[in-house]
Amino acid sequence: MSAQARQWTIFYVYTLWSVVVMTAMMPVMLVLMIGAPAFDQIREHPLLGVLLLGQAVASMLATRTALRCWAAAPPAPMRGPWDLPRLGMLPGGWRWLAASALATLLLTAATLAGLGSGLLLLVSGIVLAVSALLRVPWRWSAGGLVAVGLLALVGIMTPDLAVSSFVTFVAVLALRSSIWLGAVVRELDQAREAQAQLAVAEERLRFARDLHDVTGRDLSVIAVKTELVAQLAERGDPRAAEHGREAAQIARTSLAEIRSLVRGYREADLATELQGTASLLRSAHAEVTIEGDAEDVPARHRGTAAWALREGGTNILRHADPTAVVITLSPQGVRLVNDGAPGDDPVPEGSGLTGMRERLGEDAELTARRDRGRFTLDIRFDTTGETR
Amino acid sequence: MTTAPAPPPGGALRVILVDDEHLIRSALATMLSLEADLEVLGEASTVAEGTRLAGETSPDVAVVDLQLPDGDGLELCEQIAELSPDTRCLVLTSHARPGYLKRALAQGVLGFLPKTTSAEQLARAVRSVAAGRRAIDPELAAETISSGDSPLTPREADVLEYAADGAPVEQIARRAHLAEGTVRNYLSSAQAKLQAANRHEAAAIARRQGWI
Repeated sequence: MSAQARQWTIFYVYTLWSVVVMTAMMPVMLVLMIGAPAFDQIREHPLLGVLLLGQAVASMLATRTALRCWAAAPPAPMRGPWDLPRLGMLPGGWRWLAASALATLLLTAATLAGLGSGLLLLVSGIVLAVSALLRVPWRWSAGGLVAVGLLALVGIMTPDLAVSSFVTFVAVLALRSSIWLGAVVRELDQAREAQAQLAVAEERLRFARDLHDVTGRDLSVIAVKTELVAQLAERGDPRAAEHGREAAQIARTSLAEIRSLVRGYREADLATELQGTASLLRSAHAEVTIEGDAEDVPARHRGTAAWALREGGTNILRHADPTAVVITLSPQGVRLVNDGAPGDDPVPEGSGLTGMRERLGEDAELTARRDRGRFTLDIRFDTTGETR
Repeated sequence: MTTAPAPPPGGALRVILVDDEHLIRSALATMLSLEADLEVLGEASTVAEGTRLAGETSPDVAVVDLQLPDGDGLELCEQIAELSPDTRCLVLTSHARPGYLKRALAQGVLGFLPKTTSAEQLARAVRSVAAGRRAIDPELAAETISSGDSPLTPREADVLEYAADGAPVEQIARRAHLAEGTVRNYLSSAQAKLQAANRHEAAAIARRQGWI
């Protein structure tokens, strides 16, 4: 995935690896914590060391498999705030857990046979207990801890065992917190996704309604009109042509309405129109130079300027074959100069310029010149009485 | 219909039509052949058929639909330009996306019109294009300008548009006739370009800007 990968994807990798690495490091950390006595044991009985190492690998794989199952399954439904711990319960990975248990079993057998002092068995037991407790509801772990505490109090339990239980409890809590955090992030991510989809669905509904309003009426008219055309044509009635053309006109108007409906989503600003004009003309192989920028145009004239650019750009594309276009934006107006204009006579007023001039009205003054293939469209804003 | 000019001295302008929508294609063919100076040589419905037809007939003008079942009309124009360099292309489209007009202009296509163009205007556009003049719909050009400079490639815009209704990737892949992996690639590059967190947001941004 790219750098824009969804947050959950990233967070899952983080959770997976932090939990897996923590599980794998646990026997190592315990041995380091115990220190010299544990080192001596490993030195004297390398077999026990190998068994412990094997168990570390097995419990690491058990965690990895379980976390993958956990991520693949849909998150458990929540039943109130006290239900959160259940989300941190790991499913699966039972086979590797059994392998881990086998290692503890072998270590027990070796200890009973007089190999080693049982110190490494304690480590192995903690590792197994942590892996196992991650897979059962938290009340069981809490209950187990209370039981161990009570036993230690009445003196049945050795301090060694009490300390081991405490270490186990802390390790389980640390691992679970990681998984809980993962679960929360996952739910947030899903909620966001659902919200986005909901927004899309609402928008689609709104759009469908608008679309139906616009097209439904026109389509019915077209259906009736064309039916009429067919009837008239069968009788050789000359009115068929007229009705046929009317139907075509209604269809075109309807399409134009749909387009403006789609376009209604946005209102282009001058900077966008400027970029758009330049990019369109460049794609037609013209070199485009822009002098000034959108900010130079006074705010109240930007709408006019945007419209003039759009019209002017469109006209250049349709009526000329330019190699170079210069667009100038200034506080006084907008100017478009292009080469490759056909003809050399004064610009005929009928060519859309009249329409442009009418639309500009009092706002601005339009002049157009053509000189040896160079066409200049100049729009000056009416700046009289403007406070600067 | 219109008062068609008399056939030019070199004979009628030879035209082919490529469109997969049979109803529209036959209607256009009928309307164009009613003009005295235009002759419809043949019709095709896919890029492959269109390429073959253009190679066989070397027409003056090829009127090509933008959306074809086995590719887009601009690919066909490219192939026609290679096979029959004298043929000029006129692209017809039912819904235009800014990227396509720019791509068409960049590869030298002279005509780009919506399918709603009236018979009279279409005939006039065919004559302009045959004479080497541009025939671009002003509405489409204005829309392209208003949409600014889209960072999306036409393919990315396509895929994003298919994703805009919240469809899952498999469905987008089916609609766009692409592999799921390819769709994912297009979506993630579009997301990166638009700096969106997910494809829904990317589609919303692109729609607001008019890029899809």
